[in-house]
Amino acid sequence: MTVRPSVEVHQAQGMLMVDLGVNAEEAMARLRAHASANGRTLGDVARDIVAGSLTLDRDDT
Amino acid sequence: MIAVDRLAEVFVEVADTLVDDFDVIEFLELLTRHAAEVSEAASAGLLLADPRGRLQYMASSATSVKLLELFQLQYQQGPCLDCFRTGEAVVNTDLHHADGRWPLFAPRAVEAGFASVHAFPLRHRQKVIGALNLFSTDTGRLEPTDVRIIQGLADLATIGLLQERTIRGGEILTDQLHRALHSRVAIEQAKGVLARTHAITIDDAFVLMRDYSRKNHHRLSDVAHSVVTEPTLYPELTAT
Repeated sequence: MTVRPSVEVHQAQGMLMVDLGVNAEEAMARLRAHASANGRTLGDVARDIVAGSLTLDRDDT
Repeated sequence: MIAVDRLAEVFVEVADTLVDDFDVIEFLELLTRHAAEVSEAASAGLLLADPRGRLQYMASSATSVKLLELFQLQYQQGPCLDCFRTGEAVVNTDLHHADGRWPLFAPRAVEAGFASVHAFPLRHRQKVIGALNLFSTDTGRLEPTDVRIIQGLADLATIGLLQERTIRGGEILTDQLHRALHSRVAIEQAKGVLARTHAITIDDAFVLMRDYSRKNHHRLSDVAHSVVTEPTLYPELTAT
């Protein structure tokens, strides 16, 4: 059963907006792209970004 | 049993908030803190149904990773979902004997250290628009009077949402719920933005934003929306 971790996802979205210099929609697109490219769930990627153990670069996939 | 003098203070504080500079997210957070306190629950949370009828996290008396997971889980299974579907409060459920009822939710709640759970419907006319959720670390039972008082607090949450309607000039309820849910999203995004901008924690970012809002007499939700969409509006807050 998946938990929809919207709180962490939105926090990570805000962080990416600053890290990547993009708007909210683009930040979410980048989050999804990273999750899908690395075979991870959106929630797991978001949690790692919020915890500081993962940062996405501007060129990151 | 809830102390009457403490209840009087809660009533006055809630009434003051309703007539004062009003932000719906802050109001709902205040309400969950009061609900936790008067029921002697460890934590309280509030969920609202989105336009597709799925329960979304709106506010809570405390935030921890496990607690947020338990709130956010209940769009699929749990006391809030039951309460949302039936319109009836779910009261005094012992989580250690709830595996049959909630095979995925109950073990996680027990693992998080909780022993009992309650959920109260947020009602508007004949509809249920959300739920007030209480978690307790002991199996102490709520008495009928306590149940009525906590349902009263849940009803106050609905009134708070309707209050938002008055401020916004007569929107229909679904638009208000939509707006409240969007405000929660904006607050979480803004926390992320400010945490990175100032190299502070998420929790400190929230305090920064809340203190700024109060000091400048802005509504928290308005500041959050601006941090995310128009950062030049509040340079003191958004500039590094």
